[in-house]
Amino acid sequence: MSPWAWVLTAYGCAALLVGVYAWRLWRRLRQVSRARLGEGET
Amino acid sequence: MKRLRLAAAVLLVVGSLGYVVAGGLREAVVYYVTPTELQSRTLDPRRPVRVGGQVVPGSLRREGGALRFVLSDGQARLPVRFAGSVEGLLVEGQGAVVEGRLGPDGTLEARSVVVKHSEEYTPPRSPLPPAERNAP
Amino acid sequence: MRAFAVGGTAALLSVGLFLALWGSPPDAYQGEYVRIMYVHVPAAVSAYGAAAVAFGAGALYLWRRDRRWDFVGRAGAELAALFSGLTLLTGMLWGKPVWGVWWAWDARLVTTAVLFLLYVGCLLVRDLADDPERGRRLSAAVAVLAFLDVPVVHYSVVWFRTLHQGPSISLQGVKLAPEFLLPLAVNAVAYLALLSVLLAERARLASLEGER
Repeated sequence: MSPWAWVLTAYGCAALLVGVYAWRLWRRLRQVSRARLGEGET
Repeated sequence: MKRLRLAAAVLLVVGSLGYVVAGGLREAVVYYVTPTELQSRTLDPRRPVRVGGQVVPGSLRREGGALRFVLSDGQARLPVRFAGSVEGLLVEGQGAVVEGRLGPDGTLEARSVVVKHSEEYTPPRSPLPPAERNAP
Repeated sequence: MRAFAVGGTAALLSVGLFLALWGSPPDAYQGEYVRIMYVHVPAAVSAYGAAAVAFGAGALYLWRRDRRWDFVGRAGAELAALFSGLTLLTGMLWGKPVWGVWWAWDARLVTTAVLFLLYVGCLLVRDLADDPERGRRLSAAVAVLAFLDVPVVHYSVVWFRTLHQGPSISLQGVKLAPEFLLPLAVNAVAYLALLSVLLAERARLASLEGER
């Protein structure tokens, strides 16, 4: 592997790991706030 | 069922923790000895040793398919022979940690050569860094 | 306020990425591999930060028994595990081409792996107890104890003889040329901003869910 391939692999791993964590966090936050709103309406 | 999975996960973590701590206690306290320490030690030649030092500038050469260089800590010098190919960035003047057995002629027959990088970071003076000049 | 924090973090991360991939020169010895440091070191700093938050929140929860500290503690432990895992991963992706090995049993690597496993354990023990309150206390206690590993990780390269290089930035001086120091500093700040946003949002989620 060329040096740049190693570098980009490391950045890809970081983006994937943090990205998946942040995306799941955001999705769950949206779900919970929706459920809260739903409770408020009924 | 959930508890069982959880208990298995905790067991796995505790097990890995034990494994890592045991490995650390076995090897990490003194990861390598210096060439000076190697000289002052009476060694069982059958036991492998791990020695770290600087690759003496001008000593690195290939000889009949084997790599030869001298490792130094500023005082003692240790000639090293390695038949394999180094995967890391072995550069003269930088560090290396070699593992192997000491031969009768005082040359270390290395089983592995690992590069130790220094904590200094400088931009290259020549257009190509040694990392790329030495690339196989 | 939230949009401002998220936007600012995204901007900082973009500038950091640009400096890391284009702004920084290659290193005289390791060449382009030096760019991996701009993720590895900020990730390690963020792991220390998250561990400190988990420590503080854990201690306060054990003392005050206020559920809000437990929410913060859970966020801290999760992010300490995430960032120490990222530190290990990027370290291995640097070690393989530069050292020639993925892993070595040296003190820095071992204590970092211990740190990661302690926070994974901290998150697991929470659900192990039958009584949720006991689980929370157990988790807080593990978070407090796990923090003791942080100084050991940091000083491992000074206290022990390791394959891992010593500190490039310490009270003894800075061994990084300014060309490398600026991208590293910007990325460290950007990662700490990212850590703060993730901590706040994760704690908010925990409080909204009222989870155990």
